[in-house]
Amino acid sequence: MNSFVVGSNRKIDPSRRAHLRRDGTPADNDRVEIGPTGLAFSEWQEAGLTPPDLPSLREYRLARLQEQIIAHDCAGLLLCFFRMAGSWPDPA
Amino acid sequence: MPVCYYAFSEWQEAGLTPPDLPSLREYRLARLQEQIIAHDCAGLLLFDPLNIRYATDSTNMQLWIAHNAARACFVPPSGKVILFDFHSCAHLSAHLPLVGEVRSGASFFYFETGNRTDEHAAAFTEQILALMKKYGGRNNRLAVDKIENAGYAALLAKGVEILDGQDLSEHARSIKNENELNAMRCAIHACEQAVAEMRAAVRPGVSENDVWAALHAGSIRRGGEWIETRILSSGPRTNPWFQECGPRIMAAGDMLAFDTDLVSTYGYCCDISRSWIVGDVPPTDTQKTLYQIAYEHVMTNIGMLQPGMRFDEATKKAHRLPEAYRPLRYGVLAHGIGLCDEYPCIRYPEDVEKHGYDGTLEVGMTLCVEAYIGAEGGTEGVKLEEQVVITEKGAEILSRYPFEEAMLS
Repeated sequence: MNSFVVGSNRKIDPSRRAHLRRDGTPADNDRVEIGPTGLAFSEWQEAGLTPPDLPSLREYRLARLQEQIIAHDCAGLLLCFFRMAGSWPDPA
Repeated sequence: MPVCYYAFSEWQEAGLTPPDLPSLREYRLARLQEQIIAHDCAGLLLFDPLNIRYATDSTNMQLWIAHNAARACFVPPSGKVILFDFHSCAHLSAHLPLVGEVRSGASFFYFETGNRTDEHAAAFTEQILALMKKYGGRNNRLAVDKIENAGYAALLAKGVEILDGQDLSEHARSIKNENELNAMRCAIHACEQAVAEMRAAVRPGVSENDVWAALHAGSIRRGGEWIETRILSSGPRTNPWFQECGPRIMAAGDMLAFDTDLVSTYGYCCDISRSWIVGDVPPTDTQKTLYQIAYEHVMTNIGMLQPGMRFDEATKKAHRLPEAYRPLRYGVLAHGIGLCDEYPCIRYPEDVEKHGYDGTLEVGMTLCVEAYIGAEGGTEGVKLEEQVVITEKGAEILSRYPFEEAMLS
C-alpha cells in the first residue's frame, strides 16, 4: 500500500483507502492519534450515520481561521484561553 | 444487585479521617488573605476555577469555566469573598458562609458578549474599582491570576496596578495543614479504589478506552469530580510517553501504563502512575528492568526530600537516570499537587538552565515524585508516580496503591 494515501479522502479507487478507517484516519490501533473505538463505529453504522472525513475536516477548519487572519490583516493568530495577568508588561 | 459505592464507609474501613470542611475553607481563605496583606494589595481577583474553588469551595461547571471565563471572585484582605457567578447560580453557593455576596458580570468573552465584550469588561471593572475602594481605600494594587484581554485592558485604562495573582495563589495553595491532608488522603483513597476497579477491567481483548472508562466510573461513583487528562497507553504506545488512551485492543504480555491526573473527592487531585502487565503472564526481563529503574528512581528521590532543601539542591541530589533513559525523561523530577498540579516544579539536571527556578521545600508541601523510563526508539516504557507530603522528618508517602511484586522480583 502506498503510504502517500494515508489520511487522503480519495473518492476514486476507494479500495486504496482499505488501510483507513471510515473517518479517513489510519486503521492502526497502535497509532498515536486517539479517536472512536470499534464500538462507536458499529453503532454509527447501525444508525445510518456517516462519520466525518477527518483529513478534509482539519483542512476546512484551518482554512476558516486563515480566512479570518487575512481578513483582519494579522501576522498570525495566537490561541490561548486567558491572558496571564502578571506576565504582560504595562503598556504605560 | 447494583453495587453501591460509599466513599465514607471505605474511608472508615481504611482508618482515614475525613476533613472538617468548615475549618478547611477558613484555612484556605486565610492563606490567601495572608498573601494579599503581604503583597499590600487591595484585593485578589481570581478567574481560574481552581483558584475560585480554593478561595470559596464553590463548584459550578468547573471544566466549562476553565475555558469560558464566566466566573470570578474578589478576595478582600479581610472578610468574606465576593463571588461573581454565572447568571441564576447564586443558589449554588448559598451553603458557603465565607461567600459574602454573589454577583454577576464576570463574563466578557466573545461567545458570551460578542461585539459588546468591551462594554461588559468596563462594567465589571467599575465593580472591581468600587470593591478596591471599599476594602483598600486608596490602595491601587490589585492581584489578578488570569483575565481575558478586554478585562486586562479595562483595568489598565483605569490606572490599576496589576500584580501577578498566580504568585499569591500558588504560594497560598502550596502549604497544606493536617485537615487539608486528610482531604487529600481521602481523595487519594477514593481514586485508588477506582484504580483497583480499573485493574479488574484489564484483560486481553479489551481496548485502552474500556479500561479508562472503569476509572471514570469508579471515581464518579465515589464523589470524584473529573479527570484532567487521558494518559493511559499499552504495548508500543507506552513509548514515547504522553500518548492518550485510544481504541487499541490489548494483548497478553503488553505493558499498560497510566497517570491518573484525577480530581477526586473534595476537588483534590490524586496524581499517581502505575504500570501493569496485561493478562496472567510473567513480565519479560526488559519489562522488569524498566520497572525496577523507575521504582528505584522514584523511591530514591522520595528518600532524599527534606524540608529546607532548595530546588536546585534536590536536582543535584536526585537519583541520576541511566544515560539511555535521559532523552525521554519526564518533564519534572517532582511537582506540587493539591487541587491540581501546582507550584513547585523540580527539574532534571538537563532542564534546570532553561526551565528551572529557585525555591525551598517546606513542611506541608505535597509533591508528586515521578519517573518515565523508556529508551529512545524503544518499544515499551514504564511510568511510576507517588504522592508525598514534606514533614519535619522528610517525605511521607500519601498514596497506598501497591507496586507490582512480579516486576520487582
